[in-house]
Amino acid sequence: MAAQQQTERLQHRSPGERAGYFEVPGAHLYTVLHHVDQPVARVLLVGPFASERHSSYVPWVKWARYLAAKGIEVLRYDYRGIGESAGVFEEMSFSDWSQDVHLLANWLKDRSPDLPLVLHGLGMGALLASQAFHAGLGEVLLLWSPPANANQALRSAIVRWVNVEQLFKYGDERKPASAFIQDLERGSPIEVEGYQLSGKLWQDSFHVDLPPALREESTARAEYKRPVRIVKLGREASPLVKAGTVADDRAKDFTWLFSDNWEWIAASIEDKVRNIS
Amino acid sequence: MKDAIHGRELFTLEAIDTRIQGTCHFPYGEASGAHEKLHHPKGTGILILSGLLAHRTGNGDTSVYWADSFAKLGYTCIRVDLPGSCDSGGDAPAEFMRFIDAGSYEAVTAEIIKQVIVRYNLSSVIIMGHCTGSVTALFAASACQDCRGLVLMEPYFHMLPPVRSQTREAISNWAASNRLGRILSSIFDRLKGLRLRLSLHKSELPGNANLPLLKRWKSLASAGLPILVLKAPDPKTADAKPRPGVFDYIEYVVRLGGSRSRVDVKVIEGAAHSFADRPGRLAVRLYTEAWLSEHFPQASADALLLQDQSLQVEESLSS
Repeated sequence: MAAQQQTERLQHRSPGERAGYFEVPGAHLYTVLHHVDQPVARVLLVGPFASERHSSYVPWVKWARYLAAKGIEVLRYDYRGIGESAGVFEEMSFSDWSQDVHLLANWLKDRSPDLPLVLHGLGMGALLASQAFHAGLGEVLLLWSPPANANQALRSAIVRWVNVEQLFKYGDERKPASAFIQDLERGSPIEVEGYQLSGKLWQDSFHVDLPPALREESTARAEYKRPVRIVKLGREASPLVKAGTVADDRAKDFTWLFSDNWEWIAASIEDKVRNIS
Repeated sequence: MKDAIHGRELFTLEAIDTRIQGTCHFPYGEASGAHEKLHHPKGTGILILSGLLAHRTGNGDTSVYWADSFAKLGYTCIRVDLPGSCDSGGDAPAEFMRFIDAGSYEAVTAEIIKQVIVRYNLSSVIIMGHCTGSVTALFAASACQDCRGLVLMEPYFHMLPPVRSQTREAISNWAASNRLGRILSSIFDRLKGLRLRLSLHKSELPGNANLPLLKRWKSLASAGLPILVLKAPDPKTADAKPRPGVFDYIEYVVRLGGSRSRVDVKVIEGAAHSFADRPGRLAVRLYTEAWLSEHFPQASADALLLQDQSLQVEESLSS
C-alpha cells in the first residue's frame, strides 16, 4: 500500500511545467513546456548553443518561468545532439538546428493559431530564431545578443573557453584561441567543453548569417511589419551571456532584464494582454 | 511530446515539497515500460549528481554519456536536478557554497533515492557526484541505508570560499602566463606551505576543514563502503598530490578510513576539473566500469534475480 502511494506520488506531475521528447527526423528533442491556462501568447525560446548552455541554463529557465507567470505559454528545448536531446553533436549541422526551430514553432503555433507566437533567441539561438522569422514564422521577434553570423558565435565561445582553460594551465601548456581557430581553418576538429567542433561546422558557420534587415530594429520593423526588438547584453547579464566565471552569479536577480523585456512583449501583444488584466 | 524514448524516460517526483525533474536510463537500452520486466529486477542503480547548479546532463553532457555507458552494462542510471537547479522546482540557495558544505541537500537526496528505488525496482544505489555533487553524495550516503557505494569525482573536504574575486583571478592568470609570474607564484606556494606547516603544529587539520563532512567520510569508509575517488591533477601537479602549499586531504581521508576501508583513488592525467574533455570522460567511464565490475558485478544481480524467483516460487507453494 505504501509502495502504491509512493508510486502515485511519483506520477504526480506539475501542471505548470512538462518535460517531454519531441520527435524530429532522426532524433528526439528534449523540450519543457511551461503550460499556462488560457495564455495570451506563446513564446518559443531558442536558447544558448552547446558550451554556452551550461552556464546560462538557470537564468534561461527563470526567464521561462517569469513569462509563464505573466500568462505566456513557453516552450524551451535543447538543440539536437546537445544536452538532454538525442543525437550525436558531431553529426549535426546548422540546417538540422534550423529545422528544429521550424518544427517546434509550427507545433507551438498549431496549439492555437489565433494566439501570437513570439520567437525569442539568445546568442546562436537569436540567429536561428531570426532566420525562422525571416522565413515567415512568428508574429513577434525578440533577439538577445544576436551575432552577425554563426562563425562569430563559435569564435566567441572558443575565446571564452580558452580564457577559462588558461586559468588551469601554465607556461607552455597554454595555447591561444588563435591556435585553435587555425586548427579549425585547416579542417581539424577541436573540442570545446566536451563538444567537438568540426572543420566542416566551422566552414558552414560563415554562411549562416543574420538576415540583413534584422541587423537594426528600425529596418527590421520596416521590412517585416512585425514587432522586432534587438537587445545587446553586456557583462551585467552574466552568466546568461557568458562573460563571467562559470561559478558566478548563480542566484543573480534578473528582474531588471526580464521586466523590461516583458513590457516590450506585452506591448507587442497589447490587445490580448488587456483582455486578461 | 513523449515521456520516453528508446532507453530513457523522463520522470518527476515530489521530494520534500519540491518537484524534482529527472531522467532514467534503462539497463541494456530497454524501452520505457519494459523496466518492470527487466533482466535484473532488484539490481543496483546509479544516481548521478552534477556539480554546482549544473543541469543533470553535466558539463559537456558527460553525465548523459556516463549514464548511457553504465546502462549498457546493465545498471539503471538516474540523473536528477536538485532543488533550485535547472528543471526542478525551488529557488537556488543564496549562499550556495555554504549550503552545499553544510550538507543541506542531504535529506532531499535521501528522499529521491528512496523514491527511485521504488519506482525502478532497485535493490540499492551507488551515488556518483561531481565536485559539489560529491559533497552532497557523501552526506546523502550517510543518511541513506540503500546506498552501497560512492563514486566521488573531484571531491573536496574543506569549506570553499564563495567565489574567487576577479582581482585574484586576474593575478592568477597573469602569474601563469609569464616567467616572472611563475617564479612569484612558486614563492607564494612555498610561503603558503610554510603557513600550512605552522598552522598544522596546533591542529591535525587546516582551519577550513569541513569537519561534519570528514566525520561522514570516516563513518562510511571505515565501515567498508566501496568508494572510488577520481581526481584531475591540480594545477602545477601531475599526480594525486595537491599543489604546493595546499593540505593533502586525499591522503588524509584515505588514512582516516582505516584498515577496513575500500577506497580507490585514481588520478586522471591530463583531465580538467570537469572531465568534460574526451580523454577525461573516457577515463572516468573506464575506471568506474572496472570498479563497478569489481564491487557490483552483474553476476550479483543475476544471483539476486534467482533468489527473488525462488522466493516467489516458495511463496506461491506455501500459499
